[in-house]
Amino acid sequence: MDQIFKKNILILIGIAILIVAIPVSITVVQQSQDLRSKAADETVLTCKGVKPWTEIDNELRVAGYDGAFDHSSTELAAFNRTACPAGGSSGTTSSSTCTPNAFDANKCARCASDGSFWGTNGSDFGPTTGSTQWCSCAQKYASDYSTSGTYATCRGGTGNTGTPPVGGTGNADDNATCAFRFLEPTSRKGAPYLISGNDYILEVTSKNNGQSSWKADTYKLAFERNKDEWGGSDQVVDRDVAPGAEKIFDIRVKAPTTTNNEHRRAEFYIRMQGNGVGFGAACEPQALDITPKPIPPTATACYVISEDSTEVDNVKDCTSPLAKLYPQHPANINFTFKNNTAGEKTIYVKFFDAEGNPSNSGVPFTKKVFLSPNPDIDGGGVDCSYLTSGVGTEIRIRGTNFGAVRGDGKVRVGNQDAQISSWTTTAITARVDQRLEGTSSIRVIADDGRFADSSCTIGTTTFSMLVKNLCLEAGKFSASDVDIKVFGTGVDPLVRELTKVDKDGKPQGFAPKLEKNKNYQVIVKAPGTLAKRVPFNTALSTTQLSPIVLIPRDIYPRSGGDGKVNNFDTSELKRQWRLATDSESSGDLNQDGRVNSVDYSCIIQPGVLNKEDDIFIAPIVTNPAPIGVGSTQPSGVGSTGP
Amino acid sequence: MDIKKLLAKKILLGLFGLIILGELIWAGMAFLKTNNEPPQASEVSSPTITKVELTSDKSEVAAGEQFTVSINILSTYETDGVDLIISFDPKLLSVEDAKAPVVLGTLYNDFPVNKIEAGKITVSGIADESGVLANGLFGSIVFKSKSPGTTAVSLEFQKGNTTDTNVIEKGTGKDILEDVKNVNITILP
Repeated sequence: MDQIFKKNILILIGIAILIVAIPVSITVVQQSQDLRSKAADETVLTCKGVKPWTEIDNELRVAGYDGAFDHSSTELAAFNRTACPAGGSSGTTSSSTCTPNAFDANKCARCASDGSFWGTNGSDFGPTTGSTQWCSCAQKYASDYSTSGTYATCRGGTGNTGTPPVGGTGNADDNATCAFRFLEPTSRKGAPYLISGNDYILEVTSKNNGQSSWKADTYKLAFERNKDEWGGSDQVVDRDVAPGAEKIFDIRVKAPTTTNNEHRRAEFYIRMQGNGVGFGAACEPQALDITPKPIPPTATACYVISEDSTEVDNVKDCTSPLAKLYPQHPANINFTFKNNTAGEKTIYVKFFDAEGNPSNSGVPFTKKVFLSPNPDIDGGGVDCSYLTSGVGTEIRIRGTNFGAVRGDGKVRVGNQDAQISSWTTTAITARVDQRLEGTSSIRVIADDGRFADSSCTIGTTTFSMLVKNLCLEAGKFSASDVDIKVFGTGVDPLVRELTKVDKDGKPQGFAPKLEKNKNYQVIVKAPGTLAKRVPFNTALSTTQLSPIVLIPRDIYPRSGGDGKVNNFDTSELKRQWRLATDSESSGDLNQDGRVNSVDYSCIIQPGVLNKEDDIFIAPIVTNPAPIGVGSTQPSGVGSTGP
Repeated sequence: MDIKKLLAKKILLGLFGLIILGELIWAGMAFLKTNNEPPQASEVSSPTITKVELTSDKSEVAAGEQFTVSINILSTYETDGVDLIISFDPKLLSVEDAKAPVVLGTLYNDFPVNKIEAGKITVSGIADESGVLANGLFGSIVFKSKSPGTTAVSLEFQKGNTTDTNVIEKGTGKDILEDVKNVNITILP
């Protein structure tokens, strides 16, 4: 019976314990569930007003908070410390702005004894002369730091300005990793490249890989090289960083300037220091270029161009692989179509500034282009020939797809632009002001920039001749101001020279080059002779005419003749007849001092009587009309766009 | 003598005579043909030189006596004209017609000059465009001797010189005169 009672009592006690324990366990579970139930979108009152926990988490991450993100009062307190540090600028007064007599190692200043204001930055180097903290403030704020004996201990014998102060001792087991990136200062987006003179945030992430915590105000991230060049500053660890934790520092920097508008490599050396002693891996760029500041407009940093509008739409900033650096303004950008089939093409272009803001509110610029087949000369050919009048060469080009409208089209002859006389899609006539010789390259550049190449060859011949006077014996003809004109098919001479003819009848310095296989006329007139015309053809590389025999001009009327040799002149000759004594008469045609049968014989020779000055006779043209005739499109007229 | 032999001999002589007669006739015809027909141009393989010759009808004259000097041109060329400059000693000779010293022939039909100029007889004969074959008598000069002595009537000539006596080839204007012949006159007291 007792055993039964004991058993029942034990059961009752167990039940009682069970009755009590169940609610307790339920309460504990409920409490745990309450903590977890504070969802991320819950808000909480902070020193900056009501904020969602997600924002608090993010800001604490940025600030390098190394505690748990459990939305607890501890996390909230950490946020309030970060977001609302002891307020007021140093050197200003306000009631209860800081902890009385507190020392700020970053400011190198101390809070007033009544907590009403911070001392001026750099007004207090800290409690111990020669300590790491004191040296750090001295280096930062003492203008004579590098020279004054006061800071000799801090300089540690090196004495170099910019050298981190030494004198303290770090922990033997300190270690760190270092990673960095540059952010745009406003958007905090990653900067795809650095532009000289622009401001950036150098975000450095240091991870404590050592065994000891990095104590606030004792450890810092230090710019050990090129600090001034970047305008950077050392960053003191504002709260302890436990081993394994990371600390993110934001350093405001300005990309160093470049010279001569050239790129340069970014150089700096940043690492953690404990008690003034550097340790761990350093952050230093390996192959980071600083781009020269673009010539205005500076806003355009990159662009994207494509035939695919979606592709362009999808590019949101310069970090896209499809974004291309906008080189310099203005920029000529070559674009290659995916295929060159004829038809209408559309190109989409979008530009971005350095902040990633798109041009035209993000709406791509579009350009429609009608892609015609490439211009081609091969099927037609190029003919070059000297102008029929004056100096110059005419180029006649036949082909296809030159463009119905010339627009910006041009013809390049060698390295010069030709003057366009006419332009159709199949024929172009152009000219240059020189007589081309040999083979010249010809390029037709259509309005859209596409071109076709060919060449033309002009064979030349060197033209020479001798001149004789009908009335003078060979070797006795010598004259100045002999007028020599060479004509092509036009009335204006291609060549005209007033030259001297030596006694052998050779014109001095007269050896013009003429186009081969062409018909020409030369007209020669010497003082006292009639003009003589001789047609010739230049079939060979040198063209030597048979001597051109000039006949004397008429001598009557005595005032200078009438341009025609006739019986009046023979009569005048007879009137001047003088055999035995010298005479300076116009009838002395052979210039021997006498007027006699020799002179008479000269004037009555076949072809002389009734002879007048020869003149240019236009050849009968049997060639077809010049190509391109009929085009009325003047040069430089036409649309260049779709 | 045998009659048969005699007949045979006569026959042979007759035949021989006929042959000789035939040859004489052929030769005579050939001779006549050569002299009657003018030489063809193709037959003139090398033209003779062009000369001007003065000849006198008398080589000796008495003082105060007239004599005639003929001017002959010898050439095979067509010519445009002839210039003659003839010198004489005015102390020993005088020209009968001082205004027209040369009695002109018919070789040329136009004479731009025929006068005494600087003590010399100057005369030119010119052809028209068709030219003149300069072969024949150009003209003559009638002189009168003035006092005894020996003198010459001569042509001024230097080959190639166009300022003296010239014979001008048609179509080329060349002076083709190569030689002249002057004449000497003895004037007896």
